[in-house]
Amino acid sequence: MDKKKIIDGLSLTVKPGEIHAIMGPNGSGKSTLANAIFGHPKYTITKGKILADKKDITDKSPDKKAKAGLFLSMQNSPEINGVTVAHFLRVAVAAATGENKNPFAFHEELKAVMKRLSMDPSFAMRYLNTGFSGGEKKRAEILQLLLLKPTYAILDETDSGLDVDALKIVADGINAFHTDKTGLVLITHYNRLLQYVVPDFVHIMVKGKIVKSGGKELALEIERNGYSKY
Amino acid sequence: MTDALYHELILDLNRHPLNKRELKDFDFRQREHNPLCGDAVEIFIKYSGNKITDISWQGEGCAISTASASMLTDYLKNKNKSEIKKINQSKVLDLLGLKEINPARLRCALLPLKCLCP
Repeated sequence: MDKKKIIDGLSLTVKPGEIHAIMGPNGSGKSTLANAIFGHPKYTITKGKILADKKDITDKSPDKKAKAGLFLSMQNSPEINGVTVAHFLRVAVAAATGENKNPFAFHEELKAVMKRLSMDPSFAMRYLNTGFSGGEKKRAEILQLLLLKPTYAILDETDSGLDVDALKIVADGINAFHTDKTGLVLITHYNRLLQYVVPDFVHIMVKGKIVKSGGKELALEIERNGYSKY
Repeated sequence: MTDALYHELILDLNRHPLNKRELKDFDFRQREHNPLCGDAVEIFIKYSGNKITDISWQGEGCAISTASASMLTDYLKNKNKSEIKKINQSKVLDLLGLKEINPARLRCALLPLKCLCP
């Protein structure tokens, strides 16, 4: 297999309470960055470190990273046939917190969060992502975010393929997750989501590097002028 | 919520029961059993004044009686003593998310309640 360097010399610090947006053209390495942080077997980290709350988690397995408070919403969420949304979430939350909650109490919380995301209660009994529409998959990701309550979340194109109403619901969910104790990284192509979830920092990523960082006005500039000048 | 989900939650409580331990320091202790199926449940309660500060159970039984004992003890934890008297058959079924249950299994569901109101 060809070995290709995709991300090079990238450094990013996300503090609790901050929202960072990473924007960049197709193939700039945004998703690779997110997947490599979580240990996707396709990628090898040759140099550098991933620190969570000052602890080195570079070589930890994805479940350990989740226990350290990290969360990734993948651009393409896998379909898991035979595992219901409710079952998956209950087991995932129990594993992440290490605490076996009253399943009925958990289900009340699940129902409340689903209502907030305008999801039909029957959704809980469907197999995870199996046959979900694009919008349903993204909502399912936000449902996981709100129930798993990580400290740091990376959302990879969670806004893609959403209509205006669904985008607002997803944005509302992200804003509900975000507090002064949680750090958020949004990977996106468009300024659209950033109008609802306002970032503190915007980073432009091109060819595996962050070429420019700025405030939310940078996203507007990209929308007007594109990435060609980078 | 659908019935399938309730079944899943009851089975989950059967695998991971709540409050299933013996209390060494208790103010109330009552054991009941169902001679028809062999289920046995014993409930322990520790009071502080009128408040239920700790409640647990022990025993061997089917998924329904295990789930019922788990939910009932979890529900009463940190509640006032007077709440115990308010629990009836429909409250127990409500805690288990069941609208109806066949009469033989009803005995299993109500066995833990029998400990509280012998």
